[in-house]
Amino acid sequence: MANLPLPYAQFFQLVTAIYAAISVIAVLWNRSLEKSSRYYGFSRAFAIFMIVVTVFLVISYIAQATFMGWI
Amino acid sequence: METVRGGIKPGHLVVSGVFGGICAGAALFSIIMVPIPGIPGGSGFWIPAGLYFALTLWFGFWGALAGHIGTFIGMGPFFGFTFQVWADGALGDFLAPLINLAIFRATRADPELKTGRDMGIWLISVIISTCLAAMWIHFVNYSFGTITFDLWKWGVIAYTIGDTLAVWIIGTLLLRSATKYIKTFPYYVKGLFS
Repeated sequence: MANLPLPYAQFFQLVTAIYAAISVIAVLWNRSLEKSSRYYGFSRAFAIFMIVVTVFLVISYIAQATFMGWI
Repeated sequence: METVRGGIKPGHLVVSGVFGGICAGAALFSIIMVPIPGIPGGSGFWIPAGLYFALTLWFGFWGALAGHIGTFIGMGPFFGFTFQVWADGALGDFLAPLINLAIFRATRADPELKTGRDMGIWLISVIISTCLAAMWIHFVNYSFGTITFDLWKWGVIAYTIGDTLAVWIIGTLLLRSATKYIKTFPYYVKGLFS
């Protein structure tokens, strides 16, 4: 099946952890900006975007882990 | 504090690259969430669709390109599909949000989805665009002999339902919560390219 650098489940966990870390960084970046900053809107939207992606990756992981018997 | 419409900038390509990379991770891990036997690349709940539909309403062509890059990378080299299958799927994922964008531009709907009219256009346009993309993708697969005509019908139905549900849930969440912020970003696109 998949030709991944790690076993699928571990690679999935690694990528989800990276996305979660990017989400945290995006939130911290947004908090460090003034509301008048040129990038305030983007940083806020980016943080929301990353949080949504991460949450759905976690949901996907739980669904697949249950389906494939990882849990 | 909304931006005025300007020309194409290098930053638009950066937007495509960054969000394309993010979509790739989601594409890689949602492709087998609900595998559909006999239909290569089938997924019952296609998470990236919700992402690139929102991205396309924010960044126009560049958002659709991000979705194309993401699904091309995420679907392609890892799962043993032939080039035709994953290139075709990624092209469909490029066309679908652009059809949705065209409907939004034609009807002058606002991606913030604050009114009932905008929400109605969003919900209907998502069905239309995913169904058209599904027919295109599975027609190409059928033409190459990858699937039978019976599977073509089921493929179109599964793709339309799976993508529509993902876009309705994830896309609506993103558009309602983040569009007002994205509109202040210099690379927000009001037309197709700028």
